[in-house]
Amino acid sequence: MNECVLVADDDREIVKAIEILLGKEGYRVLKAYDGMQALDLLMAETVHLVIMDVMMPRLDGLSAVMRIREKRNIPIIVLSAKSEETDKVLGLSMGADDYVAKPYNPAELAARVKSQLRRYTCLGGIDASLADRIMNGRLEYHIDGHVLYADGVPVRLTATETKIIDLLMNNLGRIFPAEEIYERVWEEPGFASENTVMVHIRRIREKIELNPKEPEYLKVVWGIGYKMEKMER
Amino acid sequence: MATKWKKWKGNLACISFVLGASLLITGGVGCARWLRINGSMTSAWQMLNAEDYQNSGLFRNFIENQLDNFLDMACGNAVYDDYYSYYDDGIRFSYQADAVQEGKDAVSEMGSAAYVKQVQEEEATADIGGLVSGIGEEYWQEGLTNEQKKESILKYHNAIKDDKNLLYSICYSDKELYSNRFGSSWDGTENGLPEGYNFCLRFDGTKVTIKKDGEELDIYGDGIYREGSSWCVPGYRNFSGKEWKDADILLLVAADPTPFLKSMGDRYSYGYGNGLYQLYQEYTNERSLLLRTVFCMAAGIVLLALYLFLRNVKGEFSGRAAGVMSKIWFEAKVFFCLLVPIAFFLGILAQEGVFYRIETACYYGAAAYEYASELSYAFLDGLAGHPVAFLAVFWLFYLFVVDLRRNKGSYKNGIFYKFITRLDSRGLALSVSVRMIKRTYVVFVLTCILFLYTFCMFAVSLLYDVEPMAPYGQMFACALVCLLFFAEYVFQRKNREVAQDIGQLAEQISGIRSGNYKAGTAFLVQDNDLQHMAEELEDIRQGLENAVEERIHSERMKVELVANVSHDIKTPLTSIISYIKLLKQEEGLPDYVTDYIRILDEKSERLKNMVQDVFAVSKAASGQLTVEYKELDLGKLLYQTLADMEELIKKSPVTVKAEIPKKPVMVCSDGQRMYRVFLNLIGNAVKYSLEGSRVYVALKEEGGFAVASVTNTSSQELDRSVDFAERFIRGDESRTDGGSGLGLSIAKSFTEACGGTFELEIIADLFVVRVLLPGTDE
Repeated sequence: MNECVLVADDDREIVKAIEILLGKEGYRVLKAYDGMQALDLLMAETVHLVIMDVMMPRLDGLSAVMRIREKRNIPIIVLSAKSEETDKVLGLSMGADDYVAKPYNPAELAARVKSQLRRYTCLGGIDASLADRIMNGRLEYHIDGHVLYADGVPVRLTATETKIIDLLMNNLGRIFPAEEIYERVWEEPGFASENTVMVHIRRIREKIELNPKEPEYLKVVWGIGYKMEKMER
Repeated sequence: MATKWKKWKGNLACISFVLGASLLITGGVGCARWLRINGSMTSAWQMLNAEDYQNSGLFRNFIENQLDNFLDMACGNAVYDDYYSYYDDGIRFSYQADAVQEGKDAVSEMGSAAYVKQVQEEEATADIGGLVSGIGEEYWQEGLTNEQKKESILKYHNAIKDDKNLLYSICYSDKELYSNRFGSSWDGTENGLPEGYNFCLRFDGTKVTIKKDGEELDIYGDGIYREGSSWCVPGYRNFSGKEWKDADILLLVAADPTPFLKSMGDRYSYGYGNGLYQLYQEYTNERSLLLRTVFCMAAGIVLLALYLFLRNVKGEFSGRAAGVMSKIWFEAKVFFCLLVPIAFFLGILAQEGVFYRIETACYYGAAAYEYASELSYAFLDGLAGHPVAFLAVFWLFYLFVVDLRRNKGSYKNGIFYKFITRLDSRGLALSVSVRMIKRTYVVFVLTCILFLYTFCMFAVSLLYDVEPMAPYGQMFACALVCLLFFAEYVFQRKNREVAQDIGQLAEQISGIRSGNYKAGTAFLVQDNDLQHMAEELEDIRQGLENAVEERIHSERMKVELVANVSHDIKTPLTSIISYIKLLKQEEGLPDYVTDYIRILDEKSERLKNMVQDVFAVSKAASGQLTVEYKELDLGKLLYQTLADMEELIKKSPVTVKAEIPKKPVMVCSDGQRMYRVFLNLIGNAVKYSLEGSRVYVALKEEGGFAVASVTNTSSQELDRSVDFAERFIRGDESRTDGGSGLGLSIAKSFTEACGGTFELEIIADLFVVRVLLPGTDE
């Protein structure tokens, strides 16, 4: 273990807080207070993950991300006070792997770091084209075994939850009305099934999402139904 | 029972109104005619009283005339009689008799009441000493030889002697000169009237005695003739007439005159002597007509009174008529109720020869009033002659008037109006300038037609030389029209240009209205005034452009400010939250420190939420919120939101009732935003509701809108003066609960950003929020 995480933020206290947070998780933390410093440290040290603020002196975070991406494939998490959807999209399109808005939830940040590192170190080499597996971002579903892996770790699901996951993972991006999910999972005509389905969706979220309150994978399409988001990577 | 009676009463009222008005009008026309002929209604009264025709003025007048003629015969004077003079070789006499004859020429044709009246008036004002216009007659008698006088007497005698309705015996110096008693059972004396005769008049040279039905009549009264005295015969003390003292005349009149026929070759089979019978007929007709008129009047008044009595219920006749009329096409109404009556009246006037008379009058330049009176008489006579047709026409006209009065815009129900509106609505689709130009075309075409017409007329008048002066008039008219044509051409060209300019101006205005404030759209127009307007419009555009730009700029500034502020707050907040989390993980701290940390944690979380909310509201309010419209089922969204909030609801002391239709309620909106709206609304409702009360989440479709409402009973008294959707407003002013005070504000601004309407209503303690979203057309 002992992966090395580079944290770049012009606010020293935040860097320090993250250092303590990640240090507790057992990571080595390199500190940078502007973009140039971060690039220098990256040249000098072996870094497994970068946490990058956007608004920094000398070189801003997004430019730094672009410069890193020119050479390296390491996971980058952008940490920004800009919480807008457009900012998020911009950051991700610049080459970041994840985007965490300030003020962040320390536990969530730690979880995301862990998730990104696991995928980078463990899963990076796995052949994703195996026929019996569906890969979707952090999630991996084994069709034959009906097992869902999140960051390579199997998720414990109940029989009903597995059925729901089976349905949704096999139809990535498709929106299912609650009635249809109910009919196909419970195999009964679904009336007023919204609550039942929602309860299960919520439970699955708690098991697979890093922040169940702002789900990334198992999403509600308001007024229509539910879907499993199809991820780029 | 009562309603049935009411209905009957209404029908009865209507019927009585129609009948009553019809009768009254018929009677009114009769009365008007009578008045027009007789001047007053007293004569009508007399006529009604006189059941026997021998008591009528007509009869008296006839007898007076006969007596006058017989006296002439007895004394050997020529008999003046207009009928006789005109129709039986009497040209010589009639020409000479013109002066006397004036005003009398109608008597033989009509013997009508009208004439009798006239004659009576004339006689009354005539020289008292003479019987009939004495001066004229004497003058006329003087111009004749004795042979001519004799011839005239014999002709007259021959003409009337066969009429046995009137028997006479004319004696002079006790010698019977003329009589028609041959062939009858009359012996020529006063005694013993033959059967069928009840009226006997005797003139013994000084006085007249009349016996009717064996009773002698009082003729002279006090012996002085006055205006209004019943008999105008010789024998009054103030009458001269000594020359008749040798004459002795006796005449008998049948009680019941019958017509007699006389063969006169192929001409008149009715003899001239039918005068008495005609008089009798006339009298009977007039009387029955008068009776009818009086009856009509009386019955009409009674029925109208009945109508007035019954009307209050439901039988307002005009209302009913208007109801029926409103269903009929306007053109039909105009034709049947306006044109047909007019045609009828014109027809009557034509039938009575009024137009011919007017034409004649105009031709000879006669005074209008002379013909006006004649016209009125002819008209009334015509109306009285066609009572049924007149009534029908009257009612049609009445219906038309009622329709005009009662049914506002009744002209709209008609093919003409529909056609016009169709044209109009089609025209409205065109722009102003095109319509203006089109209108000028119409006028121009009309002028062209006028020009062509005048030119043709000019040509015709030149070719055929209609009247010597005509070509000059036509030439003048032609020149005028040419001028008009030219002027119109010039003006219309100008108008056309102006119309085009206006069109351009209108385009400009609509361009600005649709948000095209950009510069470089200025244009030049030909008209000076319009140029001024265009310049002003350009100024307005400039001003608008500046204002809009300024507003956009300031809005952007505002959002940027809020974004920057929130960013600046977020950075230290991040540190605070991070370190508080670290502190929380610290172990072995005293309890009170843990407690402090908990408070710090809670408050920092709240601060975080507030910053996010403020940012969201300011974005939404400045219209910078990105909205992704999608067709979705609002009912489902509400169910999902409720399912999402299930835990919160379960924990709360209130029950949430959903009244959402099974059928999908489709709207086009942003699901994520609307979720936030209902999350806030339901969250608020749950948070501020009275313990144990119910929160109603309802969805309805109303007039193309999906209306979602959240109703809850507030736990606190609500101050109505507070606008709860305003930012940072909360039910309790102490601000100690967890909210940011922006929940409703966010809900409102998000709803509006998604194209919906947000309504808030407070009914006592009920707090009702309605969200209206336009439904999709399915």
